[in-house]
Amino acid sequence: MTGLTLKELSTDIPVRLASGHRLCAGCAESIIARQILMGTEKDVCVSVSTGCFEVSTTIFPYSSWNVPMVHTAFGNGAAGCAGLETAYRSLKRQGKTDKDIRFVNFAGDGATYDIGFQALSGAMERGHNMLFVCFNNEAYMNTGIQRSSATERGASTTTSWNGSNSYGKAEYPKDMTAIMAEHHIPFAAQTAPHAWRDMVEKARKAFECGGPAFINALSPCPRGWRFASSDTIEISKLGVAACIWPLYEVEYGTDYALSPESRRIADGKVEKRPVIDWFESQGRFKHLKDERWADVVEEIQKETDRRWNILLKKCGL
Amino acid sequence: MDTEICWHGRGGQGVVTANEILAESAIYSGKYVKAFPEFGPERMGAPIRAFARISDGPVRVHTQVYEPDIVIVIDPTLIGKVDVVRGLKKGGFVLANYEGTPAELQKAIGTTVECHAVKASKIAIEEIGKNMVNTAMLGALVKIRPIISFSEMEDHITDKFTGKLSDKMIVKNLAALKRAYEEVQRDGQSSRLQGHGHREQGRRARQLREIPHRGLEVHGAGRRQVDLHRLPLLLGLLSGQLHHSRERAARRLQDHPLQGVRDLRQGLPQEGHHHEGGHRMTSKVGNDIAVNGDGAVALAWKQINPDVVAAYPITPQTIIVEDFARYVANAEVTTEFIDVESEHSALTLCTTSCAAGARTFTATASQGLAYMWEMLPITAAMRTPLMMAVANRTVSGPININNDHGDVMSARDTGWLSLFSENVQEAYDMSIVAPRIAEDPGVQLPVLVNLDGFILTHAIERMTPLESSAVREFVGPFTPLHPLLDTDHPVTHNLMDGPMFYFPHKYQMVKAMENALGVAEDVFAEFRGISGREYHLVEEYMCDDAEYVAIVLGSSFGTMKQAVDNLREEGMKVGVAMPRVYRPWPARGIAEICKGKKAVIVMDRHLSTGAYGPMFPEVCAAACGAEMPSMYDFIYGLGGADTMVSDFMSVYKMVEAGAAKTVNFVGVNE
Repeated sequence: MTGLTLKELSTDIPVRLASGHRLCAGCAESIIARQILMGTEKDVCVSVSTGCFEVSTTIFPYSSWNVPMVHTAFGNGAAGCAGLETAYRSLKRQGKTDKDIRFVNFAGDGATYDIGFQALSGAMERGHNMLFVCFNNEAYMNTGIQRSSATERGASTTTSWNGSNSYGKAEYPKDMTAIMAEHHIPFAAQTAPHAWRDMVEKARKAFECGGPAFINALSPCPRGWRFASSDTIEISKLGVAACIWPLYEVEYGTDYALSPESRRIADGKVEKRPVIDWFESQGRFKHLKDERWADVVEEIQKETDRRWNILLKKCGL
Repeated sequence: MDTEICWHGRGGQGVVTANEILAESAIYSGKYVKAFPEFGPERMGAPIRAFARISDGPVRVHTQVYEPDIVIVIDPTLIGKVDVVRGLKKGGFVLANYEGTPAELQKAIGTTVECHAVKASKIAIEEIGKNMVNTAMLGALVKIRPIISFSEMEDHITDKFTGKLSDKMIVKNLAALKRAYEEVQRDGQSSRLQGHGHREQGRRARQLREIPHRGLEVHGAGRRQVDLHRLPLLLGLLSGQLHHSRERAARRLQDHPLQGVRDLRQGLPQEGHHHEGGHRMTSKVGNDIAVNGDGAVALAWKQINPDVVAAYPITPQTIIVEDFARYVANAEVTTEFIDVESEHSALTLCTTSCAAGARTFTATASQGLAYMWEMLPITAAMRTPLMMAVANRTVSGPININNDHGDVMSARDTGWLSLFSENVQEAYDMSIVAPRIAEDPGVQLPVLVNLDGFILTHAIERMTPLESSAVREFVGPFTPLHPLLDTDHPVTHNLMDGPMFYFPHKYQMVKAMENALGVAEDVFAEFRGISGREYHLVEEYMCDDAEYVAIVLGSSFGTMKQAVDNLREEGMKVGVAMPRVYRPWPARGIAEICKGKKAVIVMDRHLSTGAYGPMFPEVCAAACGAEMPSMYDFIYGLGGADTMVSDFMSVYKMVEAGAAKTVNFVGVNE
């Protein structure tokens, strides 16, 4: 791949995911998937964990996939991808194939942070040459917007409602990207769909790092987060601006680097937005505007800042 | 004539190893043996037993030993604490590692049965340098009861440990063997047996003197050149000299360390599971080997050399994956071997690997199969023909690690083919025929190869393996239909089916199962051509003219053959059958067996709590028709409850007496 001009991206890389799938209007997942799949010119084999993306692209007798694709179950996406990669390695070593193939698994946050955690950790530890991409829409969206361990504190979901006695989910989300980085894999990163150049570059690094790679992509969900389906990209920008979702990358668990957009915030060149702006943009947080939860909002701001500062420190800032 | 032996010791003392040495030696001397430790969790220092059944013909009974002919006690502190003479047959004897006389031993045990004593610990410490009494006990044993001759025992021990222990250590063990042979105090005698010092040397030991260098195939270690010409010199030192100049000989060993041995130690497998597939130089049984069920399965896998294996360890399957991992480490296979972090991931990885276009195997048991369960129907519906060995073990709870068929029965409805084995030979053979059936273009379904946990997995039996080239030719190359790695022809596997498509797709699997019956028969016929062993969809024993027929799966088929023989001698017309192929269900074969019988007894080693065992309704359905016999379900052996020949005989008698209900429970008070 010579460069990253839009022209080159649209001509040199084949269309791997066809249009005509069944994702909601405004869903970030197909945007993210296309950006990721632009990260390599090589042949790609894809596996997908159960979730919106899998269901929407493979309703028999139609498939949106122009590349080999397999779905098995929910919590095992990483193991499924590892199986493709292992078969390839075995056949390659025996001289039964001379192809050059890249392997990627797409999964939602449930299939990454929760039910998928074990298989993911195992695959990363074993060193398979594969990329695992998480569409983090911060809940089990496909089954009806239930909370996951990626759901933010204060978000209302169908299993952590806001109500007379509750402000929504009480726990902060796991820092999955950091956990993956702590496996000391060659490459781990956070991305967001509005920053397409950043995502494609990171995908390219991930596909070429020669070992396990993990990309966590913020995936705004109009239906689950309750915002207009045309606002996906704006919401993505806001998540980064509020430092809810910093963009960064880590190599081998030690070399942390903020990506340009988040770096500009750290340097004070761009405004760091308060979390209340983030909350006001989506229906899942609108109850937090209530005076009753002002303390909670303050706590969330404090925790967001604390984690932001931890990240800055890791990046040597 | 079977000889049944029961060893008593404590965990960590080498009881299991001693039993294995005896078993292997007996096998390589031409006997048939079943040898296994007491099934269950073990702990260093806790009392433990090991069992052996030695026979001139194939051993069919798979239960523990309850009426031993010979009891061997290797730890004297057990005397008085454990009832070592329980069940001892009339005319049987006790041999113990004991400092006193046989008369004192009898008193200590509190018995009048024939007792023999050998100061095995003393001998071991003096000859070997540590209190490891295996070889001493074996020496004493073959003096009292020459199951095999002393020279054969000497040969087999030398053969077994060459390349695994230093030559020095082998020589020490042989010295202990010999001294115990000479010094064991027999019942009624208290004098040491001297003057028989110059034992006739084993053929092997003599051979070594003649042939300076010989490559030995040590199982799991490849070929190694062994500097053996020094060994006979030392053996020469031993005979006749040891008794008088032990110290001199020992000093000589110290002064002239054996060369060539150091290289052997690099990378050699540790003493551990006795599952050797290598040919013994002193073997009298051609290509036959002594191996346990897990080892036999691993050997079959090795010979097939799959592209990928991914597995998670669980008792009693562990030996399969450990053995195979060793083959990988020693480059005896080209398989890509993945230590996954769970069974759920194991089956997932194997499924996508197979769908990608690689021949893939795995193995599990019990909770592992349960943890994989979600993937079982997916693997089948994806039509990925992978092979999985199941070391049948019950599913918790209560937690129990012993054999029953709870695990495989939970997979019954998932669309997998399922084959059963009665003994170690069959576990090996089924592992070779299974891929042919599964991968057939008209079948394309994954296959389970079942072997009873502990009873077969951990039991050494005598087995005839095929040549590796014959196995590879028989199994052939893997030719996947729609491999995911074929990026030139991209395919999507396992899409979402709406109601319009799910049912027809499932029906395709029904057709595949139907095809599998014919394919299995063809494959069995072809297998007979290369092995001489004949298999069928349903195996029958004395069913033709039987009035009462039992249907059973797994190792109990063997035990029940003995029960059938016993009852036939008493004049009862009984028979027993085993569906070798359980899925697809061989309804026609079962129906033929049931037709016209007075009664059919289904032995179920699993229970649908609140209803029947799993096979009972299936047999009834197959037997439905005009000449339908009376049908009885007997639930037996859950959680590894040992069901004996006499128990099975009682089952037939209970049915004959009209005393059986529809559902009965063997050995459990109602």
